[in-house]
Amino acid sequence: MYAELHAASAFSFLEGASLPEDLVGRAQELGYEAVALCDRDGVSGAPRFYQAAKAAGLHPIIGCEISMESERRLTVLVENRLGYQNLCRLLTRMHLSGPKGQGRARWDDVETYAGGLVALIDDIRDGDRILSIFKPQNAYVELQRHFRDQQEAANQARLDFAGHHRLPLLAVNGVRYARQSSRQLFDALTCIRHKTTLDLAGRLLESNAERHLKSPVEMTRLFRDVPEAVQNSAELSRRLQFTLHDLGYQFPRYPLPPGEIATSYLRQITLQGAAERYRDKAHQKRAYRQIAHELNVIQKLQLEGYFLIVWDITQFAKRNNILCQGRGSAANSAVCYALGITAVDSVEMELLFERFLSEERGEWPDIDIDFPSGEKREMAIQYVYERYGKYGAAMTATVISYRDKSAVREIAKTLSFSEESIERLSKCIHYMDATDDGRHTGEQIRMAGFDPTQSRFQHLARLTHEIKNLPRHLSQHPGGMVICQGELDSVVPLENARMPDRRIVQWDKEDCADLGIVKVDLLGLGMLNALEECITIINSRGADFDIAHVPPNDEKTYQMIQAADTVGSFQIESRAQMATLPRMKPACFYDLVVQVAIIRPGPIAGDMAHPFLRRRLGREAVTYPHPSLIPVLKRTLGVPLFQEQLLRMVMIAASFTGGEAEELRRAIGFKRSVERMKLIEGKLRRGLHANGIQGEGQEKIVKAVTSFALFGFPESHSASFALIAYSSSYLKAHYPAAFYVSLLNAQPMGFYSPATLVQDAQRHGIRVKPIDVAVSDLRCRVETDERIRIGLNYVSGITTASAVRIVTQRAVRRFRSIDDFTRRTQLRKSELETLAKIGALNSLGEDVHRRDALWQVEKAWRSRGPLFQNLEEPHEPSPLNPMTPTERLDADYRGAGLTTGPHPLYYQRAQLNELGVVAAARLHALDNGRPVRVAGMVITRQRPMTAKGFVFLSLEDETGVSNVVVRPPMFQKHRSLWTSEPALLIDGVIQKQDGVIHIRAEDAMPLEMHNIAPASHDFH
Amino acid sequence: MRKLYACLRVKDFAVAVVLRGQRSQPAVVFSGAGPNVYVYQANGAACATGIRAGMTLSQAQGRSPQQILAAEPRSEQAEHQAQRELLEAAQLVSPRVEDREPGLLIVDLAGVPDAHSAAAKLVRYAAQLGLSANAATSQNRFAATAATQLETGVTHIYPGEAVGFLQHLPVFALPLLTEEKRILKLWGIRTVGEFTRLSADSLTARFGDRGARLAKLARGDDDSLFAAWEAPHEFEESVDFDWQVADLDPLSFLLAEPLRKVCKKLRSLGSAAEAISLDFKLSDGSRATRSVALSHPLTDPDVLLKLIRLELSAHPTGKAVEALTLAAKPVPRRELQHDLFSLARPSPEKLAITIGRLKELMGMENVGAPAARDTHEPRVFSTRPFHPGGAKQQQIVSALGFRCYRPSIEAEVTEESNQPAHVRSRIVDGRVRRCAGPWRVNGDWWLEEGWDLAEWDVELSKGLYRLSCILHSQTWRLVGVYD
Repeated sequence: MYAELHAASAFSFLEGASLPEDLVGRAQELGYEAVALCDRDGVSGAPRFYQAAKAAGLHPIIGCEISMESERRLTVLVENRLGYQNLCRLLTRMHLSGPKGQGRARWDDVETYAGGLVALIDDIRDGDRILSIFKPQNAYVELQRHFRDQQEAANQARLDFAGHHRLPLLAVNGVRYARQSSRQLFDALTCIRHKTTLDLAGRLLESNAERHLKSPVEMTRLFRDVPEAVQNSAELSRRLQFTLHDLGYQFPRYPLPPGEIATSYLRQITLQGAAERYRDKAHQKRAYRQIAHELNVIQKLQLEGYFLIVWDITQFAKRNNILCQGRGSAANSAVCYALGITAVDSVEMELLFERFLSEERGEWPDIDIDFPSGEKREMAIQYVYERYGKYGAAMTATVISYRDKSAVREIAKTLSFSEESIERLSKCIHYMDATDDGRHTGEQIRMAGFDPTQSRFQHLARLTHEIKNLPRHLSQHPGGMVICQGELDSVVPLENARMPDRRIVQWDKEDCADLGIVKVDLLGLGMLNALEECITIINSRGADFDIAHVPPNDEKTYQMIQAADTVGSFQIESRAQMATLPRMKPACFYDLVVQVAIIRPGPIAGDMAHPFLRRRLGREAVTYPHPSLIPVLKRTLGVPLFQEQLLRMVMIAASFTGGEAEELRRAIGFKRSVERMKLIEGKLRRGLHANGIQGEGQEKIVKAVTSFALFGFPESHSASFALIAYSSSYLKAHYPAAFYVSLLNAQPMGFYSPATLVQDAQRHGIRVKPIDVAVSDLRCRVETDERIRIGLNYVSGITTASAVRIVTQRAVRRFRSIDDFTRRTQLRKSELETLAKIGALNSLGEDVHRRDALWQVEKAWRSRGPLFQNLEEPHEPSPLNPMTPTERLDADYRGAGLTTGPHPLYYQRAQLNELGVVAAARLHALDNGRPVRVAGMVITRQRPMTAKGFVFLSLEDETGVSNVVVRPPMFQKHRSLWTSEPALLIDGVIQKQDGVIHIRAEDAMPLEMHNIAPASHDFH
Repeated sequence: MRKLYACLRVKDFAVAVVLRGQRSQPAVVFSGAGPNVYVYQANGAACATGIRAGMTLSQAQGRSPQQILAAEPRSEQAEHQAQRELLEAAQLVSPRVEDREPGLLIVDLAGVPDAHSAAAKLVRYAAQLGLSANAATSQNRFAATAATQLETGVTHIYPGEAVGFLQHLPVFALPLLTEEKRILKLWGIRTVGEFTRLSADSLTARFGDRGARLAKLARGDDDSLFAAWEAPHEFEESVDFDWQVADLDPLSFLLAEPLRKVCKKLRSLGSAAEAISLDFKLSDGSRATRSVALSHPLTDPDVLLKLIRLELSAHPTGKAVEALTLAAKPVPRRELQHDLFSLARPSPEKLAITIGRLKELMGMENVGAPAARDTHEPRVFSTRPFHPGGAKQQQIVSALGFRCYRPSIEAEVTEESNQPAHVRSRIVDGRVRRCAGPWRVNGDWWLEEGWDLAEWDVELSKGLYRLSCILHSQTWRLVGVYD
């Protein structure tokens, strides 16, 4: 029998055309018993290869093609755990020896880390060296036969070498793709790798299509003159017994104070924290009982170190005044709350600890911590690197794969399409098409103005489809970090990330989780930046505000939330949220927890959201799928909304054990869950049936469970986010000036553009002052409780250095004129023009208008030579006309992305009134079902996956926002109109329900805005 | 003498040149090849349907579904020829003509009697060439040029009217640089009249010297130099024979004199012939053309005559010749000096004759220096022009030589156990004693002419050969022998 011991997958990044799963699938079809994955310079594909092979009953062997300093490759196969560890260390040293992608392995390092590895000799120029390092018992001479005559000459030399040194021969096929038909994709990948086209690649391409997985019969026939080469493949595969099941990973031990053990230390600091957290609380006793239980479980699972390490990170944040909050399932833990890792009182909220941790599962817990994005989070990351050493901690990877646009672009380049053609084609791959069924690449080619029947376009369509989802390169995950006792580089290779001072492992988060490697997510949340700054501003103006002690149940805050006045409020500002708030009318914290969770595809697709709302409004009776589930579902009125509820349901109704419930949870949480969910559904039905739950009740439970497969939210996570939602809303209600300034300074973030935030601020009575080089700071700031000033950070195209120069020079002496300003700040012309256009220079003279400023700038920036350099030019009146209001608006949006003047539609109100357009603020006065005409700038577009093709738009005018619903046929008919026009005039019908107003669109046309085109936020 | 100028403009020149006489129909010319074909220019009727330059041809064709869109490839040669015809026609009105840009020319009417009818004449001449044009007269060239852009037919801007005419022109009618256009747009300057409100000093301070010139131009003061066009020299001679000439020898005799004259003219202007073209009028009224491309520019009439003879003997006209036109394509003549230390090389003239003879024997495309092609396709190569002393010698080490059969030889092959067992061809026939292979090689799958071969090395009684099987047709060829 034959085993393929040299196959590369697409995780060789442009050197393999098949995913590991495809290789395994094909190997299984061909009757293989073992396959070795030997990707280039890494083991990125190994976890997926391992999982697929395990499921297929194949023995997955790990190997690697290592790029050597000689510019040749050395292929090794892992025999045992030592060999695997050595391979990881060798690859780590190789990658860290140079910038990303440029490291090469040294022969010295190979010698150090050769133990447990078997080497395949391909290039006999390295044969003697390999032999001296690996010794004859760990070396094989590799033979490949791809029906190339020159290759046979080299094979003869290999045979001679093997004979001379009495080395065993090994037949391999040097596989680069699973099936022969993938050769064309492989050629395209070669072109991408070499940045050339198929027409010009010449001999860079393979000469034939023989590097696919071949049947054992074929390989036997191919090597019929050296049958031992084929037999040796099977023998060697039996010798190489290591699999990824046996990684040898250990979580690091926390450095304890003298005399302490982890258990006692954890208990001590937990109880210290609990004393503070639960002081004077009614549920204090219950809390301490829960803590005792949790500490007991933690001790049994020997996880004290993990909690101590996470606590240590949050303590670092606290010492450095960095706001942070644990999210996710950790919020289910009272210990985490006591330690200050999370901010949600899980005891008060009756959250499910077993969702976070259970004895049964035997898995590491998963704690995610949110930090303010940017340098504060980076401080925390660097702290972890320093604490655990160069080889002890690293970020997890993210696999960047080919998607629609990148796939089209790259393949089109290989087929010699011009740049213009490529631009057209990639523009037609619209983000909204990602949700369309049946939209073919051929259609998109036709939309781009080309003929899809031409042969090159046919190749384009086919190869684009084949390359989609193939890995392109590894990038770093934004926040996942893995830490290891001893050295992480013996578990998985490390490599440099593109960011300086960052190292990543070669596996992504899911791979790490699948293989039992503990990680901590240090995530960046823009809203935390905003909150941090907001609190700083508030306290700098004489208050003493503490985020930890935000007054709960503030009436003004909840009134604002119930009125859906939530632009800028975390998690409850989206169009969908605003459409639900007046119906839901959150009046307490738990209502907010539900509100955050309810606008998610899970509850929507699972037909949970609307029934809940109907029950809340008293329009539907509260019922339960089964009486046994009343305790679980009572506080959500009989409707399951949270993952924890689903876990409890299946444990109670289908008698799932904790482990089985966990399997269900894992299937829910990961993007590969769809296939796994099908298996679980069968088990679930059997359990429900065994407990007498059948018919409609069974269907309801099954539907609720399966609909959560992709996007359901954990209750703990909802609670963590609801805390921030409430805090942000409170700040908006009570400190609006500081709130808007902090949001504007934290961009990009949130649901709305800065332009919309400014409009919202103005509607709340905040005066927003424009950018002015005489007074603006680098960032936006509060001038008074009712007035804020836009900062220089909003000037398009201005560098930080230029902005600093403006502020610095102004501090020396105020600017006397535009000429004085230009000479002293040495800005580029484009920067000066932008400042002039947006009116930021108007205060540098008397009666200076924007065109006047442009006129002066055009003269001032030109060099006058050393003689006249320091002479100030006398101001001459400009002969130019001032800008019209429309021109000023255009300049504002182009130059700053926002306007502090009237809304663009203000200038058109008279004409719009004549057309019968109703302003947004007046829609509430109209009856349900009445025809109406609205107009506005499109500030958001959404096409949620659960919305069955419906599109939701928000139109803004000078009075507020109106929400429009577009049905699928109307959207398809005028796709370009709905997706591209910055402003629209829409005829439709008012739909009013429970205080929420929508316009159902019947017809639409573009609204001429004279080139004023602020960007909308588009989502799908 | 008062200045007066006429401007002649053929709108949508590139389209007009290729599709003469089809002004009312939507028409475009396109450029590019393969998947990258774009509209280069669209005429007014096409623009009215929304077609724009830069669109793909498919897009353009989709824009006018109700009307037939005429589309032709752009022809720079035709544009050049048409411009030449326009300039020569304009010289019938006045000898001083300025070649402004394709489709646009200025005529100096100073000294021309009845100058105002000159514009109409120019339009008529253009029409005779199949080109629809606008014309305008003015003392101000800029005004005349702008008028042909904005007005149809013939426009006269009388003395004193130019400034008023210019005031209403869009400011982009001025010859502005891209950056200047951008700045004026920022300033809100839309017309030439608004532009004239800006002082020359202030414009100079902002646009430098160009500012002053633009200010003058906007005020109707165009003091730029008039660059009169001169027809390029032609190196052409025509001969009408008194009797029909059927044989090469007498034809060669008759060619000698015109050839001598052309060569003399070339030498007098410091030029040499890069190619010679011959246009024959034949006895049956038809025409035949022949051309001789030279590997080296020459002015020697004897050498050229020999090369022409070689060409005509390889490609005779087939009928008697009544008249001929001989033309030389000129290039600047270079004198070469030989290096004392370099090897002697054949003279360019002798080399040209030798190469000419080879091309006569082998075919034009089969003579040159061989160049390896970057492809796995076996035994293919391309030719490039031969230059002595060009490539470096490379040492090739090979244990076994291989001689390609060009062309390859048809073979019949009988297979046993999926291997060649017996070969029959016109040069060798017999049982295969041993074989090695198959060597599979395929490529160019993205082209219509992709190839897919399986090759074998076979030992026959007469020696070691290579067989190639074209897989899509299952035909065998004997492609070479090992030496």
